[in-house]
Amino acid sequence: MLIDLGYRAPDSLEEALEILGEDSSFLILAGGTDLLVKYFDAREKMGNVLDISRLEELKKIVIEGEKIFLGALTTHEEIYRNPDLQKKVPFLCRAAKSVGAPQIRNQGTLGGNMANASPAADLAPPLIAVGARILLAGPDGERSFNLDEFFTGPGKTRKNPNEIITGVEFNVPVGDFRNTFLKVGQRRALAIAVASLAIALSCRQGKVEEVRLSAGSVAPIPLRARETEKILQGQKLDNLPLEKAADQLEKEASPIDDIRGTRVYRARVLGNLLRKGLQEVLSQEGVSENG
Amino acid sequence: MAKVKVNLKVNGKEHSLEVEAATRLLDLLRDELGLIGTKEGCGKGECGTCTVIMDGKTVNSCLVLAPQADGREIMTIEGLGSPEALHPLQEAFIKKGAVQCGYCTPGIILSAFDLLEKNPRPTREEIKEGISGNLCRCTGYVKIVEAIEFFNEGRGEHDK
Repeated sequence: MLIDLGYRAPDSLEEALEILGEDSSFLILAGGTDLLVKYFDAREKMGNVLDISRLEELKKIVIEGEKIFLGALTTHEEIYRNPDLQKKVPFLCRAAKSVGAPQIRNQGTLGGNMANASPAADLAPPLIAVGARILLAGPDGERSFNLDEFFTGPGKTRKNPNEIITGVEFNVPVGDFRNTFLKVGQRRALAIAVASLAIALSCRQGKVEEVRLSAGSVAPIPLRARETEKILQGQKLDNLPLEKAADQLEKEASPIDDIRGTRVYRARVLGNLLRKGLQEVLSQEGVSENG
Repeated sequence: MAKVKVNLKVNGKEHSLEVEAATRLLDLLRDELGLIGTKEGCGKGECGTCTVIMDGKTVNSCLVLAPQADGREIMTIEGLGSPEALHPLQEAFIKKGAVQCGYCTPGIILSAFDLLEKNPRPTREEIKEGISGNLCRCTGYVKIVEAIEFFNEGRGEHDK
């Protein structure tokens, strides 16, 4: 019987999936920082709400050596404040810290940031750059995607309406791993990115062994810049083709004009973020070859 | 939407209410409990005027559905001090002229209070970051930051 069930707040993932199995029209609510803004003047249009904010099993952070799992209900503040994450993936913490302000970071969740699928989602670039997979659970079982294949358009993902994001997982590269996240917004707090860039660089014997670049707010989805990566791949650290890479990155992006910035400005800023970011990671102390 | 039962603790007092599921925590506090110290500014999580402390963390009460606060503990500005017995942090705001129109003040004071709970010796930069989710259109923030520093200096002397 589905009468009078406008609001449900299950205690377990199993129960949540049962509800979605019976009726996939439920609007999945976690931290509320996007949804309550979207329905600001029409909350009655939220329809049936499935409040997943009580699912303790989605609040876990599990760090086993280099293997990391972040539950979907992990808040931006919890990511930013986690000492292990600060050590292993500082650029993810920097991205989390760049979101909103304390109140928003206390409420907004990792899973919500992914499900909302904004091209400006700040956690997406570092997670894509570190090769994260996103995990989903639905009435028919579990699925996962590489995060760079999860987003399909602004506000759109490959998640079905009856599926819940349970978390993301990734392996921190071993050896000399360097990373950074840079974001340009109109002010320092409560700013949506005009452009952002995450750089993940694995170095070996003075060369780029592997590089992943992911940019925000410069394409319909958080962009994985594969062509620019190819230009940097295998290059010597003391002679990186900065200008060529920045030019390519500007070409690879497809930004739009909106209230926060123009297409031309965004592309230019993005190229500059790559120049600045690469210089920053080059100056970082990498882990020694033996370490 | 259906009516939902909400049990919560506000400023140390238990409440049991029945509200429309679409009610926000902000509306529950103001309209159901009459705690009008919590203000509504933008209603979209940008201004921080509706800031309250939920389970020890600051949140924008305009972005929390009232049923999400079921079983939780909320502190509003009324829980910090009363007109008869202001909290020293509130006194500091008055003393330093950190209040002009006053609309943002409850939210800013709760953000500052929460910051000082977690970081008793913040730098000026940390204070600015701590209140970065609260907009003030009158003061330019200088006197607000000074008031928080003034309160903390006073508190430091107290510790000695």
